[in-house]
Amino acid sequence: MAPQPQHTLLDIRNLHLRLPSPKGELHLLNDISLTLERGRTLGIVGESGAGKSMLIRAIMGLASRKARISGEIRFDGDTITGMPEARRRRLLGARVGVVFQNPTASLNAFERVGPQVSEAARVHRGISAEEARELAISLLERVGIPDAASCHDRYPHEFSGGMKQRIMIASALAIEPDLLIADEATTALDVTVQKEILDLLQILQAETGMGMIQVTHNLGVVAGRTDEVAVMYGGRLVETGPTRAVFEAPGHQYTQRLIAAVPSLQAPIDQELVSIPGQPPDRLIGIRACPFAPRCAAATPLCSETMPVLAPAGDDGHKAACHHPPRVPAQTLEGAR
Amino acid sequence: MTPGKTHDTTTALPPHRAELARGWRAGIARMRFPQSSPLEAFSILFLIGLVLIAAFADFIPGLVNPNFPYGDFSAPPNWTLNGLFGTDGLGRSILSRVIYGARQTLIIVTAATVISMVCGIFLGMLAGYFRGFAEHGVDLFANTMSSLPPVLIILALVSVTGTSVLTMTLTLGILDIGTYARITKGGVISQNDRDYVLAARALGAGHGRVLLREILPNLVPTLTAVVPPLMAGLIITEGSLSFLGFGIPAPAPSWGGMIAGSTDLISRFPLLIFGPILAIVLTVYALNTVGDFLARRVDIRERQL
Amino acid sequence: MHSSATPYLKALGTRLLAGIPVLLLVTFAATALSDLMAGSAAQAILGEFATPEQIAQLNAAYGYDLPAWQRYLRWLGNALQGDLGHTLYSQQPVAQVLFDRALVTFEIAFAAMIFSLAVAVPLALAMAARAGGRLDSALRFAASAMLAVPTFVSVVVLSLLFSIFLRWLPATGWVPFFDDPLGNLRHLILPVMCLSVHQVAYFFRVARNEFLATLQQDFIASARAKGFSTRYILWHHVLRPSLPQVLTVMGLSMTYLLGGSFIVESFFAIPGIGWTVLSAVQDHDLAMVQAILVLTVLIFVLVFALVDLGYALIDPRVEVK
Repeated sequence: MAPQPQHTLLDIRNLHLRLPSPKGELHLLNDISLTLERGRTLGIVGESGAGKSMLIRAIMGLASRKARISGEIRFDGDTITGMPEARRRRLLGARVGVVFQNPTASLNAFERVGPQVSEAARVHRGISAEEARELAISLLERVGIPDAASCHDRYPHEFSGGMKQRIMIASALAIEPDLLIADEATTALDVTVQKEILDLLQILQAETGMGMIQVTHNLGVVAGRTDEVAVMYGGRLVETGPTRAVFEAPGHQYTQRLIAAVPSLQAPIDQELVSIPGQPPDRLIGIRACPFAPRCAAATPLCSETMPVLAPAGDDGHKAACHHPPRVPAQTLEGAR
Repeated sequence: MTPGKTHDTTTALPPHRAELARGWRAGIARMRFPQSSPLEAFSILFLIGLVLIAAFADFIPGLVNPNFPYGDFSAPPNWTLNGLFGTDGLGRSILSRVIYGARQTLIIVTAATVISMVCGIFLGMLAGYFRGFAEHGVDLFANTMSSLPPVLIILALVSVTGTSVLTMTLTLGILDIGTYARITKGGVISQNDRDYVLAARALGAGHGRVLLREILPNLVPTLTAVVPPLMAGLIITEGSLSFLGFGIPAPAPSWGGMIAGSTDLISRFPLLIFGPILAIVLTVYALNTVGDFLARRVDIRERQL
Repeated sequence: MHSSATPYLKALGTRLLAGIPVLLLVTFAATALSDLMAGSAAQAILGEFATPEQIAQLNAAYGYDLPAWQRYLRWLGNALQGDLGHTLYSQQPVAQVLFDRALVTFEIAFAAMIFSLAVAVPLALAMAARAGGRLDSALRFAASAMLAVPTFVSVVVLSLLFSIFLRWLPATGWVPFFDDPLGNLRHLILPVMCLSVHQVAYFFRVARNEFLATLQQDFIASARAKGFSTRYILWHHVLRPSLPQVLTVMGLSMTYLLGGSFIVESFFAIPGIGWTVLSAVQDHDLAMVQAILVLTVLIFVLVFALVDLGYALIDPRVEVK
């Protein structure tokens, strides 16, 4: 990629998150360690309930007040875990943009679109009303809203879902973020619109050189679009590495099954869709076994006795936590792009 | 919680299965009382106690007749049974009058509630099931009733009929018909398209059967939750009318009338006013709290569907 | 910006027209009331010592010997020309008397509504931010306790406290605003406080729960992710989306305030609608009772038409038709 000297934008070390519940303490995140270099893109993949969104909330400081968090998160060199709330809020708010899943619910239906787009810049940078208007219009143009000047004063309900997501992206860009987090940003959209939004995010990322995290349950969103990928299961990181390496030679049974579950356009039309049988694990107790063992076809007694740890599974920092890494390379994902 | 157990008349179904089951048993099973807060438990106990005291007032040993002088005029409270709240301007025991006033109020308000529930549920079912003209009629009635302050409605009626226990009960009974009808109507409409109703209809159940055996049981929790606050409203309305001098005719004891009566002497005997005030405030508070509790239960159930 | 007020006026008109059935029902019921009287209405009104001439006179003036629908058409015809009849004993025009009294009641009700909102809404906003905390729990309990205090209790307790013990405020009476603004204010405070005991608690409860519900919405999560402070989020993102619910409650509380004014006015001897209706009921002055019913329904219809328009002003998704 870019030959400039890289340094770490986001560095997560041994992050744990526990949430008390009436039934007992929930282990929502277990020993997560991840890094994202400046200007690179990371895909975080997993089923719903795997802990992806909880991880984002923990990074942004939006987790429930009752949550107990341990471990360290550093953003551009600053340790943000344990930082006073107001300081952390201002630091991240001015440098990180987040785009959420449901654009209709994520926009304030009572406010005009333009002011919502420029709001973060108005609050964090104190720009004037005219500057805000110009900024909002230029951002709306940049995310591909036709006739941006007249859209400035319209309300969210006057736009389609895809357009609203573009507006959300524009509002996340208002602060020229160093990091953009797209939390299932395309999940609620039509397939064709999904592709448009993903392309837009890719272009914007390349133009601005910001770091980007794509959180998704859909491998197709990640394949060929991110530099690195992290696979989560049951609140744990089960595999991480360069996207290409992970897709070509998955080091974890779960990753392989996920890849196999992606429907391919090249596949014969009568081929059955593969799904992974079983349910994600109960997060009540800190388990000692491999969390995927109950659903894994390759599981042996070893898997239900000891927890596999992340170990090198290839070059370039490709790691996986699996006792029985798949030997057969998974099929490539050309069709899923 | 122990106070809840007294209401828990069925143990047939675990709560999370109750929705799938149909009929009256399921409806009642959805009204369990676990997890009440201390204030809610207090409210339930208070209401049970109030009903028992009012029902068995005649058998409370040593309690004097509420309408006969028993001691000095306007005597301050002391630690005897009849003098606990003091005596009024005619020397009657305020405690005794509070208790007999409770009986009077509870009888009138309960009878009025039965009247409005029966009429309201009937009208609401017609409106929700058959829609069209019946619905318009019920809506018009409900809107009209809610556009007027309850006290004004009753005053208008009382201006021609005069005051008596019977007119008070009947007029109070009219007030909430519209509210019960509106809630029933909404419930019937929302239940009407659910699978169990369609299934019953496919099996050839008639209108009456579908309404009474299939839909009504599912409305029981929602309707039950609005009864206590509406009763509290009736108690306030009845008290207001007695306070204004248009309530139950004297010398029958009533909380509102007692409060009105003691205001003449209030500057000299301020302590004598607290008996009836305590009674009405606690009763209304307890009814509202129980209503909130029941509504919260309904809410939780609805969200679990 | 919306260029013109015309669509709003039109919408207001439509909604007022929609209130006509309610108005007709109430006025007809009010006319029919006298048929509920035992024996002849005129006899019941004038008492058992009335002479046949007096009864005939009363029937001629008010038509109590006619069937209800005839009496109603007559009343309706007169009412449309602004004639609501005359009071029974003083023979003053009902409309005139009512207008003077209504101003007094409106002043009190309006002041109570403004005061209650001014206290309850900021408090609710502050508590929504710390829902579940100690202060929040304490205020919620205070609110449910205050909701259990009927107006006829608060008038007694507050006047005992402020005019008998502390002697800060006049115990009874009324001074019109234009005669003596300061005296008017002094006489206004106690009635307004009595009506506000219930209203403050009611507005607080509804507003707090509504703010809390709004705080759960997704767009609040995206505002938080942008690093805005809680205070900023409350004022800029929570308040406005919660207003429609507050507006509904304001409309509903009009009925409560009018009902409460009966108690307050009779207790403090204030010459407003409530005081008037009580003496009208005592005197069997049915023309006056009927006129007050009409006025109350009119207020209700007008208030809810305004509430509907308020929705359209607050929520851009609501279309004005």
